[in-house]
Amino acid sequence: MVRIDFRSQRALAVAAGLTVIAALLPVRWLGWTAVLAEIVRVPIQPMADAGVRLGRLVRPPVDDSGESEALRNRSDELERSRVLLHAARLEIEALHEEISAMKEVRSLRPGVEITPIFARVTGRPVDQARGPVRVNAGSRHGVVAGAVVVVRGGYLVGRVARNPSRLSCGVVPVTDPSIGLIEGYVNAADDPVGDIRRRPHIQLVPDGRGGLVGDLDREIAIHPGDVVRLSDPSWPGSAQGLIIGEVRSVVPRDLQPLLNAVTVRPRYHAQRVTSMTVIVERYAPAAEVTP
Amino acid sequence: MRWAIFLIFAVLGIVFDAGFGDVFRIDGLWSVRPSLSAVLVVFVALSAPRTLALWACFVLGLLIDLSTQHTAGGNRIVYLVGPYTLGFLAAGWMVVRGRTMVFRRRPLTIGVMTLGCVLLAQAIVLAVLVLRSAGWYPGGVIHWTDTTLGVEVFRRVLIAVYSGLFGIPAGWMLVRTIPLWGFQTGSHRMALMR
Repeated sequence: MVRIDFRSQRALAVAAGLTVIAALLPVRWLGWTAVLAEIVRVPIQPMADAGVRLGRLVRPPVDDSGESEALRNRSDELERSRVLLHAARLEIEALHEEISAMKEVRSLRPGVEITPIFARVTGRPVDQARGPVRVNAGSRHGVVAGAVVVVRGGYLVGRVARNPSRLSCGVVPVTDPSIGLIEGYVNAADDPVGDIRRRPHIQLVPDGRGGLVGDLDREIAIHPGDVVRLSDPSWPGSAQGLIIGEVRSVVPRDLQPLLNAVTVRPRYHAQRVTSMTVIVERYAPAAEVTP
Repeated sequence: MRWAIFLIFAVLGIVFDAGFGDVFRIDGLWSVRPSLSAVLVVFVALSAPRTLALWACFVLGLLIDLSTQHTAGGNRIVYLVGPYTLGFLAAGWMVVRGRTMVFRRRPLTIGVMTLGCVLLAQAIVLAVLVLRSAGWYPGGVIHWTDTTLGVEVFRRVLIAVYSGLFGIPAGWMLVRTIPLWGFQTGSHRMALMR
C-alpha cells in the first residue's frame, strides 16, 4: 500500500508535479475533479450555508433599488402580472405560427408543467465576485440542467449549469460569457405592456463589466430605463418574457455610424442575492395531456 | 502539528471565504473580500516544521480549488485542480524561506506576510487561468472573469492589500490558538534529539 510521508520533500515535489499536470489538463478530462469536489462539499456546504446565513444577520443584504417594503411588494405584484401578460402574448404570437403544425403532431407534443423551486445561495466563488454560484437545490428537489433561475418572480438571473448534484447545483449568471448570445426585445419604460410586435429585438452578449451589450439600428428610439425582456427560442418557454435588465446607456458606435451600442444591466446579480427560484419545466406523459 | 486541528481551521477558512466573508465585502471596490485562508497559510507556514507547513499549504490550496467553480463552454461548471494548490504552495514556500528573518508570532508579521503571500498566490492563479482561457487552449477554454485582465489584476491586488490588513487581527487571534496546534518548538525538537 502506498503511504504518503508528510515529512518527505520528494513526495511533496511529486504531488506538486502532478498538480501542475492536473492544472493543464483539457476541460473534457476534468470530470474526476467534480467527484472530488462533491466529497469536499459534504462537510463544507452545511457550514458555508450557516456562514452565509450568519453573514446575512450581521450585514443584511441591501436591495439595490432602495425601495420601501410596501412599494417593493406592489412593484413585485405588478411585475408578476406583467410577466404573465408578456409571456401570454409571446405564447399567442408563437401559437399563431405553430397552430397548423400542432394539429398534426398534437398527440406527440407533451403538456408542460412548471415547478418553481426555492433555493438559497450556499456558496459563492472563493476568490471572485463573479462567476457561478451554488444553491441548495439539486436533482433530488427536481432541478435539471438548463433550468431558468429568477429572482422576485420576473427577473432573470441565470441558468442551472450542467450536471446538478443531488443536493445542490451551480447557477451560471446571465452575464457570464458561457451563457452566450441572448435574444430579447426592448420595452419602453413608459409603455410596459404595449404591443410586442412593434418592439425592437436585440441580441445581447456579456460586456465584461457585469452587464450585456448589443447593437441596434440608430433609427430605433430606445432610452435608458427601458426594460429588455427575454424572447429567445433557445431558452425554455417558461423564461420567455422575463426581464433581462434595464437599458443603461445608448451610445453611437464610432466605426458603425448606423448602429447604436445598447448597454443593459441586470437589476439583480446572482452574486448579490441570497436566494433565488429555479423554474423547472416538466413534460408530462402524452397520455396525461388533455385533448 | 496536529492535522485534525489544521483541517478544522482550513474548513473554517474556506467557509469564511465562501460565505461569511461577505460581511467584509467592499461594494465600491469590485466587491473585494479578505481571504482568511491566506492568513491561515501564512500562520501555518510561519509556525509548522518546513515540509509539514508546505504540505498544509498544498492541502488547503487543493480544498479551495475543489470549492471554486469555473464555467466552461456549453453551460458547464468545472473544478480546476491547480491554481490555488500551486499558488498556496508557492506562497507557503516564500514564507518558509523568509520566516527566519521575522518575528513569527507578531500579528503585524502575519499581516505583511499575508499581503506578499496573496500577491504571489494570485499571480500563479492568474497565470493558470489566463493560460486556460486563451482561445488556442486545447479542449475548450475556461471562463474565469467577465472583466478585463487589467481590472482583474487590480482587483486581486486590492484583495491582497485587504487580506494583509485583515491578517493583522485574524493573525492575532490565530496566535492565541497556538497551544491547540501542537507545533514543535526549537527546544522541543532539541529534547527529542537528545
